[in-house]
Amino acid sequence: MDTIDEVSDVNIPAIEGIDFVDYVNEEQLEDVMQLVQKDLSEPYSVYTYRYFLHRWPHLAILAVPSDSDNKRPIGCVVCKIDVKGDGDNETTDAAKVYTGYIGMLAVETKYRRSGIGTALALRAIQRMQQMGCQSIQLETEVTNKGAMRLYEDRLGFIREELLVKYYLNWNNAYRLRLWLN
Amino acid sequence: MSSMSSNTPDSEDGYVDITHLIQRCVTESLSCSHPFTPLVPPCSLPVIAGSEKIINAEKDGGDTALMIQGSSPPTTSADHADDGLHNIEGDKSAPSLTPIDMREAMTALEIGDERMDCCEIPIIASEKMASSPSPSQRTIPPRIAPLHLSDGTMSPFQSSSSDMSDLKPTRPSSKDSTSSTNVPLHLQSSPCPSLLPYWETLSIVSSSSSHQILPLLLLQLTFLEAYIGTNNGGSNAAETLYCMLWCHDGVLADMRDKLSTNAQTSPLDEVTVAQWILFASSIGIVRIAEAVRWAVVNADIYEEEDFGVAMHGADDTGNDNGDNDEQSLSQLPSSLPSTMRFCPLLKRERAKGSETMSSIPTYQADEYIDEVWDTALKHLFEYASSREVTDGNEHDIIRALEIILRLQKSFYHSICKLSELNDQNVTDFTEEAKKKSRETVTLLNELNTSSATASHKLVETDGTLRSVGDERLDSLLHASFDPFVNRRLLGNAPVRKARFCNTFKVIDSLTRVVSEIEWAVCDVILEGNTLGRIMRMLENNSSRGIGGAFPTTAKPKTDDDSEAPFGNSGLAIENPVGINVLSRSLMLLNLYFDDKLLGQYDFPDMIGQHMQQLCAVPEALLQSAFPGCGHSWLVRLAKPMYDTLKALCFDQHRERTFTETFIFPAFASLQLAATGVDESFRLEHGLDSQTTASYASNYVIVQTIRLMERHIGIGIRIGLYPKWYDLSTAYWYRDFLLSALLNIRGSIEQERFERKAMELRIKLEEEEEEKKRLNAVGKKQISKKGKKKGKKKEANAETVREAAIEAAARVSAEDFEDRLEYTYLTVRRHLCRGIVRYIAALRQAGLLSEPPPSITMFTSHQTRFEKRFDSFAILPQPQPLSFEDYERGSDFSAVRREDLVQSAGDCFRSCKGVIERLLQVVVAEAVEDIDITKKRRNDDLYISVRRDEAIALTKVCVANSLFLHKLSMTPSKVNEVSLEFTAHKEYCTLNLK
Repeated sequence: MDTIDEVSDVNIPAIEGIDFVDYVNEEQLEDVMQLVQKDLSEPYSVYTYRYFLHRWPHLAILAVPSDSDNKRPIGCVVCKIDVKGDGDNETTDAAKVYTGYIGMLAVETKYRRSGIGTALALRAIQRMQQMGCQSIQLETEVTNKGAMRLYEDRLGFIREELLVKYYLNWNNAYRLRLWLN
Repeated sequence: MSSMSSNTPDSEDGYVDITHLIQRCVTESLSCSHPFTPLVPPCSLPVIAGSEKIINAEKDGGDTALMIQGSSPPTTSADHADDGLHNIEGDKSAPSLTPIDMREAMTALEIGDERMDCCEIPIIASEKMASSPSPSQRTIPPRIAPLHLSDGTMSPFQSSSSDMSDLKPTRPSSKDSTSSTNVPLHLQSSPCPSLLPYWETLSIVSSSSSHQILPLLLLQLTFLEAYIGTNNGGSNAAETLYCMLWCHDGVLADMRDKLSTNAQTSPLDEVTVAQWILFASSIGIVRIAEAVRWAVVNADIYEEEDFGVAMHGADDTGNDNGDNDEQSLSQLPSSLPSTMRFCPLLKRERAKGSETMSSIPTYQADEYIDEVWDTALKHLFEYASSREVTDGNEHDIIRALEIILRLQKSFYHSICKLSELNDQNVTDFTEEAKKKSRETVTLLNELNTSSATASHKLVETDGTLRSVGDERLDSLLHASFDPFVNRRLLGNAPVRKARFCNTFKVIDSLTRVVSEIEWAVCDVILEGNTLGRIMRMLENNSSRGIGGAFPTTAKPKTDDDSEAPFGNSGLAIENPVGINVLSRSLMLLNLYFDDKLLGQYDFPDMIGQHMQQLCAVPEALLQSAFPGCGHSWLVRLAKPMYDTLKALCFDQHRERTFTETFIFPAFASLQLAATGVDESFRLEHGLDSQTTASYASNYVIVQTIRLMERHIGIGIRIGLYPKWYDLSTAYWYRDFLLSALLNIRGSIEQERFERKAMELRIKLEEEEEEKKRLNAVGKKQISKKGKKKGKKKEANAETVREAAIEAAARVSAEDFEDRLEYTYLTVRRHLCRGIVRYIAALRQAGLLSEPPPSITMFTSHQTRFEKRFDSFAILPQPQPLSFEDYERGSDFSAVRREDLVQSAGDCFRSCKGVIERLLQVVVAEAVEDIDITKKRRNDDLYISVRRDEAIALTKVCVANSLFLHKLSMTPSKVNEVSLEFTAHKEYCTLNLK
């Protein structure tokens, strides 16, 4: 598996007026939490955020307006990587299966429809691909048409499973997976 | 990966360590996860520097402790040393702590979020809260929730300014209670004190000094529905469970006290009719909840997590039923979670009535609960007759109360009977359960039309409990059935908020749940007599469980048009995903027991019969003594075949996953084993491999393809193929599978027919030979004695052959069912083929937008195709189709569009023709006197397709044919193509607009 030093966001078009920065430390935690809490129905605790952000800080990317003084993010993506066969001593590195997971993706309402969500997802996917992931998965509410369009129509995710009443708000979810070449 | 550093907050920087809180929280939650054990106060932990502030905040009742910024979770566990939390490892100021499990800590912290506190523990009525009702302090996290409601919590319907002192206690508080003084009722021995202020003034009809009991019973039904209801499907279980087991705990405990401590002084006279009814209903609800949980937990349906014993915390193994006079009554309250702890007097009287203790049957608890119900009903009847009720309203109320108690009893017994089946009682008990479920449905229907029920609206449109406007009644209802009372007992698990339906919806939902017990469980057990029939019945049930062929209408039918069951909360009834969790569990529980399928049939034998019926497998193969053949082979088949039946009992989305994970791998190895069996059979009988069919393999492959085809079909139903290019692959693959299945079954059928004809011809010829021989002998004897007059005409060879064919063509009832299934396969193949060609025609006309190039940015179409059907790759037969196969098979570029349209139209027309023939043999339910080898009624349990399904498919054919016609006539006028599943859930129409 590649290390973070070796990955980079290549060939992903920039968005004018928006900088994409990595998560650095807990000073950004509150902003990330606010962004995500506003949009996602599922309530996550601070530990859930820390679980992602501390273990995979390089897979948390923030979108920040270039002209912003306080550098408060207006979009973010938070991801992780699961390794199958990691606990098995006999499994060789080559036999391990790395699967990326997009845990949270949020963009402030007034900045939507400008490609920031796609750009964030693309960057995260590319990093996970560079780090050896064979596929990337996520769950999204069946009613979240915008998210479904983004993942299916723009990124090529396919529906893998229906998860009935998956969320605490009783909504069903689809498990989507993007198979990486 | 490179490490990153971050500023580590410490107490000196205004941050505090909350580890001790986490520890305390975990300790408390662990103790709370066993609600039936006596409550213990939270462990007193050493106060850690900097933590006083938090504790004080807690005492103040606010959740300010949860607003700590920058505090990091502890990472003292070695397992988590590299969890990226290295930033706090260097914090030397942190005190040395007892290692705790990070997952527990994580769970503990999860509730820190206000929204995570889904059950909304009511606010504390402290002075501080009343004076500063900050929005952030509206809820109290469960981890610091009071040990019991008597700590001062109040009804959510009361504003913070309401005076709780209005609620005058009807029973004195316990002397040694340390709780606050505004507690109306606090039973010392109750494991979970309940607020029930008007317990002593309950009455049948409402008056200024009494409170009507009917709303309480209706609310109990509402909770029961939320617990097991069809639309909720058990998702409320974790939350409502405690309402079931603990609601009216005060009532139960009080009745226990009355019935036990005052046993010498006619205790029954002290209990009013209303109290008897509420007691019986409460205890009934508890028993039903326990019976449901038992069925779900023991059925292994992968949905039992919500019903798990750990979640309930009850020791279900306690044999309280067998308790006798020697057991001290004083021990009962703390040790027995079951019903009988609440009515020891009844139990003792029952025991006295028996000649010996040993004569009490093992299910005597059922009889005791019957005793409670019967006693309540007896009191109700006495009440009604003593008052000579003339008021129609009161009469309706009394009847409604009677119905509720009766339906509880019937429902409970229908579940219990199906939970107690063994190979000796299976038929009797199942028939009894069927009778009880019908009885329950009848009672529910009557309740649905009762005017007494109509006057009570207990639930808001958003699924929350409703205020009835009467503050006292509200307090009573919500104290009695307080959904928050057990929130802390749920531990820190994130639990979705329980949703409730309005009364009529509750009755409707319960009616469906109970009806399902009859058709989804009892009918299968009673009528399923061959493997093929059982499979078809389970498939039908699975389809019926999701609402049949037609998608459910967008707006569900409600009792009040302005009132959706869940209002605008986004919880409108959607297409159900399967039969109810209770019926699924009961079916699985009884699918195989006492070493028999459905407790009645030897499973290997049944598989053997199915092999003969479906694949014309010779008897010799099933009786082979070769290793791995004969009976051993049938035994080898048993587990995978059981799993295929089991999968049919699941919700369809779970069935799909189960098939992928367990059944396909099992069938992959089964196919290899089947090859060996066929080879052994040929060797054993010296048969030629070229001319002898692979009987065992055929059977396994037929089952495999059936599973594969169903797998794709469910995928379409649950929306896994959203775009036309996804659907095209699905229908194309399905067409291939159906064709393969039809080919195999067709050739098997042909071979069976020929073999049967040959066997019959040989038999007839032998008979003719025998006749001739006998005639010849007779002639010799006659010639010796003298010639007999007249000469019998000899049948020629042609007549024999025709007679044999005629006899071979005769079908049994099950043959007819198989042929119906075969015809239905043909219908599906026509439809799949037609849709694929229709899509190709639309694509050729440029009316379908090509897949966006962006979807291949990270993956290719080939990978998408391969991964979609990846679960088939493990199977040796049929060999998985590749993307190249798909491209070749769906490439109609060389075909003119007109021809393509014509071809697609032909498919739909052929399909419609076959369906029309199907509709001629599947006749309406009312038709009498039919030959079951030629026709079947629509309600026949063994047929694979019903009229509504066939009609829905006809609609798909007609709609697509019409749009094809439009495409051929005026393609330029088509602006938009939309995929719709409004006619059928599995077969789309491509509408041209």
